[in-house]
Amino acid sequence: MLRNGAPPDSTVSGSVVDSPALSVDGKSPPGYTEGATGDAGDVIYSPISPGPLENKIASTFRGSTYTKKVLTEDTVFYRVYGGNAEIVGNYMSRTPQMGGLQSQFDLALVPEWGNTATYVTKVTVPKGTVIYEGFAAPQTINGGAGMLMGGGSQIFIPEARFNPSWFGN
Amino acid sequence: MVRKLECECAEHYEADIDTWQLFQDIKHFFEDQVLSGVYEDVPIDKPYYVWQDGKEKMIWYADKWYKCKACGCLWEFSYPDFPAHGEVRKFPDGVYKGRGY
Repeated sequence: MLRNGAPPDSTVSGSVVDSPALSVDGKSPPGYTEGATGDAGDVIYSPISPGPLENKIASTFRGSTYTKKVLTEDTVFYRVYGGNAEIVGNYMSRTPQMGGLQSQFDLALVPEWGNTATYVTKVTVPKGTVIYEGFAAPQTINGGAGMLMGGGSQIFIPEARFNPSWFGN
Repeated sequence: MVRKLECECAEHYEADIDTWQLFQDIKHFFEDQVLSGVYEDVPIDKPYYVWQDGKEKMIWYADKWYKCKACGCLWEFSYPDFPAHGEVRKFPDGVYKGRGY
């Protein structure tokens, strides 16, 4: 639980401009170096350069690597929910979701977590919001007998920094 | 006659919470312990992770702390927010320590 979040982007140096989107095929945009400030003002965090997200959250990104970005325009993301997963939550995706198996595979949604992936809602996030972006980490299923590869676009916005009114529009 | 309060702390361990069912089971366990008067729900006064870079700071807290009235053991309970797992940490001497990363 994040209790005290600082104002968004209070220390990232340089101008913040729109960044190249992380590629869906899993390759980082050219010119990015882990632990460095990207050309576009984004900041990449990884196990060798730990960032603001606590370890349990960081590890949900592939390679525990994620990028801090500040949105330069209102942006629509997609949240998959159902069952024990509610419409409002910290996790979403930049890629439009179909729900069901497509989302379970791409976002590595383990059935035992209770997210039935029955529904998809748009999340309209306003300009200026700080997001943490990467790719969904693979997850083991059936006690290690199988694996969901993940690899889909994954966005995390801490609860203290989002507004429930963004969801469902 | 004073009845000595007995606890089950020695029989329980730290846990990584990777399923919704396990989360429910552990949550009910702690709630039952509080109802039976063995544990108390105590205020959380220390974070488990603090990150700071210049003026920017993020501070992460667990969801619950429980203190055993019998043996003094402190339990930290962080709810899962899947895909992020939850966690239970145990401090038998009652002295809290951050996660150290």
